[in-house]
Amino acid sequence: MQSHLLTILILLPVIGAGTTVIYSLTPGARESHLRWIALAFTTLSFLVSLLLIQGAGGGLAAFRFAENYSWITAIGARYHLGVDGISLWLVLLTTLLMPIAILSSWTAIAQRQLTYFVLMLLLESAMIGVFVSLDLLLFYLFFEASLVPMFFLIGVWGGERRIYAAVKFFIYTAVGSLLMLVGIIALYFIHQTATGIGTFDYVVLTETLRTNVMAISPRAEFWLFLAFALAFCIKVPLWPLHTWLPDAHTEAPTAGSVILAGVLLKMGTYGLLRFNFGLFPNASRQFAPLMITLAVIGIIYGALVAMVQPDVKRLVAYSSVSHMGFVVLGLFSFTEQGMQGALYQMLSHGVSTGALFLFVGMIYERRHTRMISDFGGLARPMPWFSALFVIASLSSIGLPFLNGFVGEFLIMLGSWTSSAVQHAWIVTMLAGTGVIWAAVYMLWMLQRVVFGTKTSEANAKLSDLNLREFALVLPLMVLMLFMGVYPGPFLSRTRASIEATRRFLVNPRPAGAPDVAKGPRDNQSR
Amino acid sequence: MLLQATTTTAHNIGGPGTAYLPVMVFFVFAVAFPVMPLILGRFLRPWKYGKDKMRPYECGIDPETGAHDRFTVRYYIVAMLFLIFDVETIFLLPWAIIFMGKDFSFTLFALIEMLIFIGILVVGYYYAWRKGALEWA
Amino acid sequence: MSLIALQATNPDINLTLIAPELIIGIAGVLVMMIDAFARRGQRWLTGGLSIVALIAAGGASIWLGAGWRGARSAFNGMIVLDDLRLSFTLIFVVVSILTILIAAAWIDIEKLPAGEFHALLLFATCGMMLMASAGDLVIVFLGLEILSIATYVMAGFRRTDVRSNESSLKYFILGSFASAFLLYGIALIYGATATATLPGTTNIATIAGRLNHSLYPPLLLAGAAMLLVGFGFKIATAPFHVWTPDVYEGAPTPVTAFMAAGPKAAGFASFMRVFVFGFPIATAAASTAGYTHKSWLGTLAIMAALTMSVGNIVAIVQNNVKRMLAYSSIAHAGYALVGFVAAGAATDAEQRSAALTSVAFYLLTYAVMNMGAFAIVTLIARGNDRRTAVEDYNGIGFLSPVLAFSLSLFLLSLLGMPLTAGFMGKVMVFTTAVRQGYLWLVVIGVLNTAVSAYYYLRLIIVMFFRERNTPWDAPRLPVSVALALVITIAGVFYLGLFPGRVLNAFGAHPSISLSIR
Repeated sequence: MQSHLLTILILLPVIGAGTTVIYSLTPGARESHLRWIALAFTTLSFLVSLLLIQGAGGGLAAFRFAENYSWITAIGARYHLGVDGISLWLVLLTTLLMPIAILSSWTAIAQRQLTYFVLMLLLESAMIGVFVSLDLLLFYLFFEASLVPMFFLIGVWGGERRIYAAVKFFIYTAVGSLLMLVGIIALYFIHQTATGIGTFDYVVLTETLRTNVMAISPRAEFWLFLAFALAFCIKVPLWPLHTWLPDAHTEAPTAGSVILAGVLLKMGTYGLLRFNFGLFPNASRQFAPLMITLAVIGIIYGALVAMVQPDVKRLVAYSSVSHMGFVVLGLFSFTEQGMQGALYQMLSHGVSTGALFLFVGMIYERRHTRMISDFGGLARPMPWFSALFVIASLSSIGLPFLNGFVGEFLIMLGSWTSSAVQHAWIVTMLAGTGVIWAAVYMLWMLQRVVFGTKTSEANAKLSDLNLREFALVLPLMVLMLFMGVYPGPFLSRTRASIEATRRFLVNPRPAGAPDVAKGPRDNQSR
Repeated sequence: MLLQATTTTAHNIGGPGTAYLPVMVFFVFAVAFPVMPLILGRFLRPWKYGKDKMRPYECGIDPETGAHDRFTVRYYIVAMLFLIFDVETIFLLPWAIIFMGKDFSFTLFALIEMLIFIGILVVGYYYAWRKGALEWA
Repeated sequence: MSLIALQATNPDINLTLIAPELIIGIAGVLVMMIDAFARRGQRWLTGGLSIVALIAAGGASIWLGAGWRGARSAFNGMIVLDDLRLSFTLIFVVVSILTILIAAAWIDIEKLPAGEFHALLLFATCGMMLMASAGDLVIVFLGLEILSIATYVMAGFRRTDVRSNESSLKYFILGSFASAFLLYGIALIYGATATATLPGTTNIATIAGRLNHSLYPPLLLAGAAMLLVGFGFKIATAPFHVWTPDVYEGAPTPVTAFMAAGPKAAGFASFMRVFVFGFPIATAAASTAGYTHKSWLGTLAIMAALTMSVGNIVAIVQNNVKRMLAYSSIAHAGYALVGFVAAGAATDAEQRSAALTSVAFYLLTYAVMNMGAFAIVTLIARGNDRRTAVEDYNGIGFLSPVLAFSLSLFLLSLLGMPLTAGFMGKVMVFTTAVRQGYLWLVVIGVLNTAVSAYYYLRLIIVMFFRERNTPWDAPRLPVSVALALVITIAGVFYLGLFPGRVLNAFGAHPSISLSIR
């Protein structure tokens, strides 16, 4: 008996989009009702997605809620869905952020609402599809499909330089993923050569590649890793492929930025973890020093550039480069703490940065400017806003008892003990400075925006958060605290899945096969 | 005679020289036929040039415009129609001879086929007629 | 005497095998007659009859496929029946039906004789079908000429417009040029395949068998090269593509749509038939056959890379939408050539069939999305093809949302975004090419796709992200065009999401090399 929960999750937003269109065609339809429909469907998706947690005890190594049907028989593509500990929380993050994003556009999006909400709903479908697909072709389908709605969201409802940002976003990410398509096709034939059956099925492919050492040549693995990694690293984005991010994040409407930072970036790190690690463990080991180097450069570079930004939104965007660098660092440390921490950091970055973009959106709606110099002294007219904004910023910095701390601490713990790169402690020290820089740019920004002297009369008359805005950020605030003090429920569900992937990264032999000594540090890291 | 030359049996086909001999002969004739009279005429006719003599001959009437004038499109339509039926007539003869065969066993089928072919042409002709291609005024 | 007489007494007549061609041919003559007699409201009469005939022809070819008894041939190998033919016949039917639907609005605006247009279209379709079903070079040429002459006229259908005249004349002159190349190639092949005891042949399967017995191998190579050039012209591959933009820009928009989808696919059908089956891969690479195969395959691979690159790169700088789509059609021929190369390189029948199927599928997807895009371009262009510049699309996104979103969908499909037909088409073609080891060609194709994003997106950007400064009166959406849009949009999603059924149907009856006695 196959569960159809995941299909329902993918289809719910599409049905929502259809409902929105049909409603708008009925006589007497009011444009202001559209957002209620969108909110209803995204909330429903969230509630349905909560069902994914049930029954998930400690171990989540296997894929649950699996659906596996033949899709295109001619090339053996399958409609194969499933969640494990890695994807479970990312799906939930997506479904949680969507209603919040819809709610955040309540008044901000005044024009062309029908198109806007339809695109948002379609985007949600694509994003959920990315995280639950277990067939490479299907995954690619969703991965690319998520580009189009975001392209329109930036291009139509974005800021002044929206066209430039939208095109840059689209071309950058599309180019990266096209070579992945070639890689996927090549993988298909590698499997066909090895076993006689061509398949895009991730589970079958990993099984073959893990059990049959001869299936793939090191050379082929090298190039395939590169083809996949390019697509994902652009998405993450890893320095120096990050240049699309500041433009896209800054120009996108608030909800678009929330989704971009909250979910779309996670597709990159998720892809690295799921596909690069799962399919090409040997090449992953080979590339680890390079990736870690780039990640550390990204951490420091992102932080330093964030510091000098005059625009709040751009500052938050650059902080993403820095934080996602941490995630990559954790992933390529190949230690349990590091990888767990990376996954945790993905979630916590989605929550904190999502919240930060929401706050920036709120003051933008009030003042129609995002320049730090235009603000100052907001604490007096907007006490609630200021308090919550400070909490979100502190969570982004990585203050203990807030979510950011857990992820970054685990990552650095992992990278310190990592054997993936020589002198791992130097790397960790350098990355550690990133946390310090984060404190500097965030606190400096807070000092200039929230505290300090008021620079403009207009700031004095600003109204504090209204009920909708409270409802918007409250779930995220609660989550920040909860994830900061009690990470157990999250980590316990990811551990087994991470471990199942990690086993082949640290040790190329399948479990049970005689250990090949790879150096003393290898054993130490266990 | 010509027919027999082009349908030599398989055994007679040798190298390119013999196989294409009839074609060569044809080429020679094709070149010689128009060129020879011109050369001969050059030698035989008397040479007497004058202004009137160099004028294009248009049924004895003086030309009113230059020769590179645009003609009405009707000339071309009539010419095309003529060409179609002219070629059709040429096509009928080899068809009849080939499908005659040795024992006349296939003639009825060939006849029907040819009637269909002519029928299509007649339809086209009628279409042109109906559309006014033949009306001059 | 005896050779021809022998064939005359046993002409191997099988009318059921050419049922689709017969239906279309007879319908064409009927439409012509109706046009000559009927007076008012004839547009619906001739158009309706044409669509009925096309559907009947499609049904007939499906019926031929359903009553499958192995690959067959008739008329002494002049007509063959295999999935290469059946799949392409269905593509032609789809293209022609969509052309009629799209053209209905245009004929109305321009007050053109509908009957003539429909008759020409049916004759062109008949020619395309013959090209796909030809087992003999002579039939290929026959089909090609039936198709071409009808298309020349259609390109110049707007008689009072100079651009249309120019387009028609250019197409005619360069098309004749290509036909001459083709004919010369056929003649050379005929001469080269003569053996000590047998005269030459134009039968494609027989040619394959004679390659190693050829008395004049250089003649054979020269003939194959001529054919390559001739077909290269017809499907507009670089460096024989130069005529395309001018012709496509000047021709009436519905005719451009037809030319980019139909005749191009027909060219591919014949091109593949002649080269994949006439000059097949040889076991002994050092033989004449092996050398011929290697030569054309290598040339074609380079042509594919060149065609994709030239088409996409030049399309970037175009400011006229029709011209841009013309270059895009060149680029798409390049992608299809990648699959063709794979078919040529395939060593066994199963892989060859898969590759041929992928090309047919690709051309079907291209036909659907291309016709859809041109339908909208026709509507926006209005009478006399006035508004075809990119600026004319400025900011119409939310003023004519149905048109703009449909056009965006087709553009994204042409770009090859997932969920659309264009993506699946590319995946199929690239998959077969990787399978034959043409990874470099696929990488070039993929990079070209990235390049193409620039100009496809440009139109979307212009429509949605810019504001319109000049007034815009939204064109009325006629029923026929609406129907065409519904068909093409449904087709884009159906082929993009569930290509399995079509692929299976296209690949159900593998073409084997048919040899005649």
